[in-house]
Amino acid sequence: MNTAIAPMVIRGKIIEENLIEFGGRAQGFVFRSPDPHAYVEEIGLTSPDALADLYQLSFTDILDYLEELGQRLVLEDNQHLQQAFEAACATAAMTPPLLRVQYASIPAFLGNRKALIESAEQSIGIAHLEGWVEGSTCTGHATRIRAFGARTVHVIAGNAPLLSAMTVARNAMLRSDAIIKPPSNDPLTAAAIGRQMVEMAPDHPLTRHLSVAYWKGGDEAFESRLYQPRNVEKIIAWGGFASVKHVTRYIQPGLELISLDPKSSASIIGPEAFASEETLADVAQKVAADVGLHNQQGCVNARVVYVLSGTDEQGINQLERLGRLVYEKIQQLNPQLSTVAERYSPELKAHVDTLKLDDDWYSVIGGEDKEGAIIVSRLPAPVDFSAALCDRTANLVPIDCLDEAIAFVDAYTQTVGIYPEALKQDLMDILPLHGAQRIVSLGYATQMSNAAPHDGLEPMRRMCKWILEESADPSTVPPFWSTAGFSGTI
Amino acid sequence: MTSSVDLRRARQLADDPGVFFEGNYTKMQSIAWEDLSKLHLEALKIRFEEKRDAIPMLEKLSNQAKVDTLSTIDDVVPVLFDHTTYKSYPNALLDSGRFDQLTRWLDKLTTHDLSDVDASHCDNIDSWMDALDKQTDLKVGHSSGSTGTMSFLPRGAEELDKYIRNMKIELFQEFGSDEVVQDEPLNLHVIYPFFRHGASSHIRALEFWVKHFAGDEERLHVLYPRRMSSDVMYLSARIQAAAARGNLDSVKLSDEMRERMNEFHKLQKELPQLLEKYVENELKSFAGERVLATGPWTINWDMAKIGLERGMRNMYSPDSVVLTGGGTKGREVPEDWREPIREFIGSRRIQAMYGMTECMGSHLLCEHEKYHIAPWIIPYVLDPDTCTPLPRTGRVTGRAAFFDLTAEVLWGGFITGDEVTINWAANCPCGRTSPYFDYKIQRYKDIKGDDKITCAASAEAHEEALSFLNSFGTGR
Repeated sequence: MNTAIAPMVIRGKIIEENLIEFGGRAQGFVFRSPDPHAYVEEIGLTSPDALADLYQLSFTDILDYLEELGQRLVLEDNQHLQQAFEAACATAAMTPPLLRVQYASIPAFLGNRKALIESAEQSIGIAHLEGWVEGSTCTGHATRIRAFGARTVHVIAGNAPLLSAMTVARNAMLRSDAIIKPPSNDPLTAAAIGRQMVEMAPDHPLTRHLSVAYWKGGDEAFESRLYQPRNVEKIIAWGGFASVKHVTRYIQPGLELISLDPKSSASIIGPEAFASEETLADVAQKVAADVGLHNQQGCVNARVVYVLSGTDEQGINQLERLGRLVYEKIQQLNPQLSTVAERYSPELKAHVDTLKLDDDWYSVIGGEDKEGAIIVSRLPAPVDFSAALCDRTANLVPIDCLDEAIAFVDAYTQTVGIYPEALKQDLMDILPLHGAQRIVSLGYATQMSNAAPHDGLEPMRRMCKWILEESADPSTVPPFWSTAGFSGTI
Repeated sequence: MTSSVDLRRARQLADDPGVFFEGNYTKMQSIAWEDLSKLHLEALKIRFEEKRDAIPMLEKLSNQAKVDTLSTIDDVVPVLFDHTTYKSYPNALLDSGRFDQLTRWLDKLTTHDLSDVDASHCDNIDSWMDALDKQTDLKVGHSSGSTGTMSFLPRGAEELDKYIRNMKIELFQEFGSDEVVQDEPLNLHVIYPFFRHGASSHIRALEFWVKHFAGDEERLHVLYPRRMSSDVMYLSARIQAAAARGNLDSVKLSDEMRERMNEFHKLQKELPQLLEKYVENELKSFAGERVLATGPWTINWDMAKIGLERGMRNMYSPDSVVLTGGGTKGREVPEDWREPIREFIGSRRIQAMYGMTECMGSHLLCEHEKYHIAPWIIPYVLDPDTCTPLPRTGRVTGRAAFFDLTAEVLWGGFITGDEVTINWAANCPCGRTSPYFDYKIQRYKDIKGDDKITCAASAEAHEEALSFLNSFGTGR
């Protein structure tokens, strides 16, 4: 059998030699890629002024490049992307129909100038990317500020292949040099995009500032050589404790970590949900979307749903009714966006099956096969395995007061979907103190804009180097070396 | 048609394997696997018939799975309990001290009737364990709780007694010998570098170690003579988990608990000095005697290092036994971990085993590095995803499951989280006739997702964070 090859792409060069085997049974897929140790010196960018060529480009040139690149990344026509799709089908937790939609979205994503402009404008300001932005301070200084690109490594997540395209687009807009390290659950997508860039415009500065190399995360011999301030200024690391943890040992002055931690999300629903049958059905639809879209593989997907139903018998009955509706609506979600799992997590299945043996504390709706389940708690507390909830399995938790939900919001919480809108007013100033980072209208957890903060920070803003130029002369800023300038305090 | 002789033998195998094998380890490991398998099926039927309606959760599972009778050995697989079963109560009950409700939960996992147990006065796990000890014949043992949840396993005194007696047969006879284990204790010194009292599953068996091995409490040498508080174990993990989530306030501690936690932390801090004293004073006091040393390899290794640094070599009689193993607990296992221990104790036998508290049998490692199955435990290897049984022939890798025929007060069927490779051909060159597991056994959650990265927080991510925090302050 031919194993798939993930080429290494180093700044306009495609490397398919010195292949060694990666992946394996635990990853669900075996592929071959050049031995990273043989290329470690080449992968790092030791000359910082090599970034200068990017400054020959205008922001419009960059958008043109991305748009053209997108047009060449049509799944049906691009065999490298097809191979990446097949690899993702074998390794990723999403099912093939959902992955197909992800890949099919790449051209539109890269060609969506309006959205790209918005994301750069919102988090940085395109003027700061294009040149020096003049300003002044109350000290009398004239300032000019510019956002420069940096030499970066992106350790990306593999649960959504679009992340590879997003990383390429961000790197281009920021005029940075990126080395993308793909994960084993999406080993080929970034390389397929990188290869396409080389085939499209081998000498283009944007092509010359993108590299894709696979190495096994935590390969100390490799990482200790690459992760040095002489090669890299910023490491953007997504996900997993282990992936972030290996990186931290290399952090030192001159080498910064931007950590996009693993997160999980929840919903909080007010008693208004039970106002009428119609409302209940509407709320169930929204919960189903937050839980079930993309098969609950994202950090944005709701896993625990707190409902102000009350914890008395009537409250629990109401909650069970909501649970049954949510279960039904999940089964009816658009099959391009949500399907029965191919491999329902066996650990989760064991937990769900065990709960079925004891109906004192929980009732389980569904969970017959791999279609997902709704676990209705009878106590105002989530199941102990809430971190393992996935594959369209959610836990509905009855509460009597909001504090009971707030108590479970912590540093791992990302999105909180809220119903009705008015309830947001009570929660939006308090949830962030506990750790929540995004508060959305129920039903919209998975529909997000890239032109917004993420994980409590603005990643694009952080990925730039913010450079200041100050002008002063004695007529505007009295100097400290003169009597007038120094009054005893600084 | 099963003859009545077979039925009688099957029952004897299940009720008292020590008697069945006439107290002889060679017999335990020489019975033809085909014959044993027939007895397994009959004994399994007996156990299922006895327990099906006597253990409420089993009854429910059997109804759900529509299993009424067993006709093949694999028929029991749909009604094996998953390893999460013994911690399937809501944690909120423990956190809010609802021990009456926890008793109700536990009642569904045992043949004993706990409906009359009054736990209304209990305000922590320790007092709940005391109440159960006082009001029932059960010896409920719990897990370490290091992942933030604690499992509770009902056990009976009689079954624990037999378990340790069987261990005496397994540990103190060489394979091939025709020795017979007597009821009398071995009167050797037991080195147990842990607490003397407490309700964790391994401490629960300690009284039978005294009965069968030490013969007298004086020959049991523990590191801490006191009781290990179950609450402290539970809360330590809870506090670390909450701290990792930046949510420390969510763990409420009473003044009494705060005091106990402080004592425990002090104890942890003093562990290195305490261990030194233990080695220098306590362990020296019975030099030359026959010993059984146990505990996780880490602490044995630390003790050996301390001893060897002080010139303590070949301390005990060569027929001593070291029984060790256990997880790596965040420490890298050195390749020659057995050597310093062997040199310090002076024992010919460093015995590793594969076992778990849910099964009262130890699968001992032979000289060819294979774990041989204890004959009263029926092994299964399942498809790791679907938990359907894999063929019982050849060499098969999958999820280990067991049926412990000696389990009396709980259901003996249990699915582990371990990936094993079994050799059904039972042709180990050591001469034992049982099927055996390869040395490499790993937990599924440790092999899954190597270098897979997602933005969604998984259970593994939480556990990794927790074990990272746990790796601080582990003593030496």
